[in-house]
Amino acid sequence: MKNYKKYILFIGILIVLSPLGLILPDLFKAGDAWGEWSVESVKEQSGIEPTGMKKDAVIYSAPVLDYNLGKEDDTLPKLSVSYIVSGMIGTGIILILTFGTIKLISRKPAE
Amino acid sequence: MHIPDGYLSPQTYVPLYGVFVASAAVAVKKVEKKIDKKLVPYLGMAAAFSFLIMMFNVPIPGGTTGHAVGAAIIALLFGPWVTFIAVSVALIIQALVFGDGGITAIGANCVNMALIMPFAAWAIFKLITGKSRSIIRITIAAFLSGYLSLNIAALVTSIEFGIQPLIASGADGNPLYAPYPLRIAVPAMAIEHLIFFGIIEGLVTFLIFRYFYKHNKELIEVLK
Repeated sequence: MKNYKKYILFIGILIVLSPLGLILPDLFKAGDAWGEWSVESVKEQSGIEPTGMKKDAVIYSAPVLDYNLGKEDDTLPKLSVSYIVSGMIGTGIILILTFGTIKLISRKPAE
Repeated sequence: MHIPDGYLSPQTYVPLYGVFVASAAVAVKKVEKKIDKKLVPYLGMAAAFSFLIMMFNVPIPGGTTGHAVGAAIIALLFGPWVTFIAVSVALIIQALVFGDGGITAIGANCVNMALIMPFAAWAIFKLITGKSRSIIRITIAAFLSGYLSLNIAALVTSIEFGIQPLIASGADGNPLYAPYPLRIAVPAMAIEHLIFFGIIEGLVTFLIFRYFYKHNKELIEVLK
């Protein structure tokens, strides 16, 4: 189906362009999204350090935190590479799930 | 709009997890009948699209950022239950692998962006177009379904944030989780989504809808 090629191209373009999601905020010195601040940031802004937040914020340690495979203060080009790779990782996981599901439903006997 | 860990109290995130799980059960039942080797790749591509579009953080005046979700256009193309699955998959991967959105907040985030948003988008489109298939109406409907559904999702999110000081404050009166009350959270999130992010979602929805309308009209679920 030639349609799939167009979609794949579209997804590929999105992956390659994804660093815009880092570059644009950096260009305009924009911060976190509303309600996505760190506990430290909340404390700075509001003077409050909610104890529940402090406890729960560290509940889980994501393997590729914030789509960054390197360090938090890496240069923008480095972060952008991480971003693209993260886009590929996410897409890759979804691809595996998709093909896995197809395999699963192919094995199911027709009803 | 990805709620991190620590912003919602258990009395908020547990019920929302409940809603999420119940919805997932319904979604599986509904989609199971339609599922075939053709739908699954579309589901995968929709999930990938949603995942990627949420990486495009857009800065706005005031210094915050935001992103489109893609749930509206996916809903118009494939229906709200398929969208629920696609966007939930994207959100869960974002939370588990990348820490974008909290683990405790997966239920909440999925309810907001994978349940409320697609259904709102679908309903709004249907409400505006009715039986009409005039290109102008359909175009406006596509834009508004994206614009309004994102704003509805943002509103619900802001309420989830804003009630925390009310329902989860310590003995000293200090909020235990998200510290900003409704009168701060709701206007803050509402304004930025009404003026900026909603427009982006509306445009994304409208542009992609128009592409499919031109090239693959028979695919579009909301027009069937």
